[in-house]
Amino acid sequence: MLVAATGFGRVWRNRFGKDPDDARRFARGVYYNTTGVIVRGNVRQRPQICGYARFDAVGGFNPNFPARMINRVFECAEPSVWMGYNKLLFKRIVTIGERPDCFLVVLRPEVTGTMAVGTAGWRSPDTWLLSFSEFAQQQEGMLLMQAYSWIRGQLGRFVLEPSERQPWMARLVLSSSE
Amino acid sequence: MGSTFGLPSAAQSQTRPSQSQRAAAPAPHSPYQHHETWYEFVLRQFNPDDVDYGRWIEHERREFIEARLKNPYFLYSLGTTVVLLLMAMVCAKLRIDHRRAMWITAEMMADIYNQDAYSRRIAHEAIDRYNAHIERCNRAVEAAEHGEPVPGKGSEIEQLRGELICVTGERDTATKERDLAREELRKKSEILAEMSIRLEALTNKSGTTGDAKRSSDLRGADPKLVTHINNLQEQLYAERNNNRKLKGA
Repeated sequence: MLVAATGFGRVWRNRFGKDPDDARRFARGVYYNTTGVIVRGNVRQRPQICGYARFDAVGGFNPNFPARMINRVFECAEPSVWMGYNKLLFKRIVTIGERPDCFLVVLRPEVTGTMAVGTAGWRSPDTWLLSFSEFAQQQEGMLLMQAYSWIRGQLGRFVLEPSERQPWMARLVLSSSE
Repeated sequence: MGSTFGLPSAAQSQTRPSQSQRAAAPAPHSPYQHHETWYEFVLRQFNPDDVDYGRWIEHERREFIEARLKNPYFLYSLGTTVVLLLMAMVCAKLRIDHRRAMWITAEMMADIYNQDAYSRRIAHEAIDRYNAHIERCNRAVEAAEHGEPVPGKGSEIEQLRGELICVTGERDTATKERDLAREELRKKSEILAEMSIRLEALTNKSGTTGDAKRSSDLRGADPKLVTHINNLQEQLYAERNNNRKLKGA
């Protein structure tokens, strides 16, 4: 499955090998991204639906420049549930120009308005909610969406439209307001 | 010309008269003589033999004047030395000035050479342009004499031909882009049609969110299970919210 990342969640974690003498300890590092909210100036996870996206440094992911990983297409494993957590493994970056099957989209109320997660018809059925965090009026959700799938927020219905010339880029477009 | 500046034996004898008288006196037990003042005693520590250095210096000075300054060879040598030193300084000054002048001359010659090379290059270019112009004029005169078209217009034709090629290339690019856009539009229409069918199927089946997962594109048993878990997670979240609201009420 090919997935293009359109954004990342606020929380990043890493895991390195435990052998300090391993020269490629950091080159084989693993990075986990999930949703989070800001609580008293600090980023906290406050998970309501737990899940994470896993990136391997050996697969070409560069943790020093996460912005460069946006709009890149990754080869991914099928979505799974591991130890009660939703998990999406990003194996490696594929060459530019590939048309992705899905998009990793991060939703925030600043763009879509408050999301009524759990209510019927808040998202199209061909989407997969990877992770969701909420605290007070803040929300952050990470979804795996196909092209032209949609979500419904407080501001209306947003459809994920890929660019015609660059199919690895997509953005949420307000199609109908409430 | 050399002179010895050691203390001569004659100077030893040029002691003050009181010294001989005092030397004849019996040696006292203590070095300090009670009949002399304390500063005389201190001075005597520096000059125990009581030598008259002033007289000795005066004597030496007179000897020097007699033997050196009044000697014509000495004056001649001194004058020659001074003249030679002056000549050396003059030579050094002339040499420095000469080198400076040579440097300035070299710079001026370099500038002149560069200017000359530049002028020659410009002249050659002008000559080439002139020759080319005359050549074209000759060709034009010959063509006019033989009734052929003027070759000067050939360049315009070539220019127009180049523009035509450019326009053709742009047209081909635009055609390709149009075909691509048409293909994209067709794919998009197919996707929209597929979505419409799915939406219709969903509206026909008055199902719950559990039914919705059947229409998911995630194929296979595991993806269905994952989707089902995902929906259950959402339902759990919604129920928790409801419970919280009820507790708050």
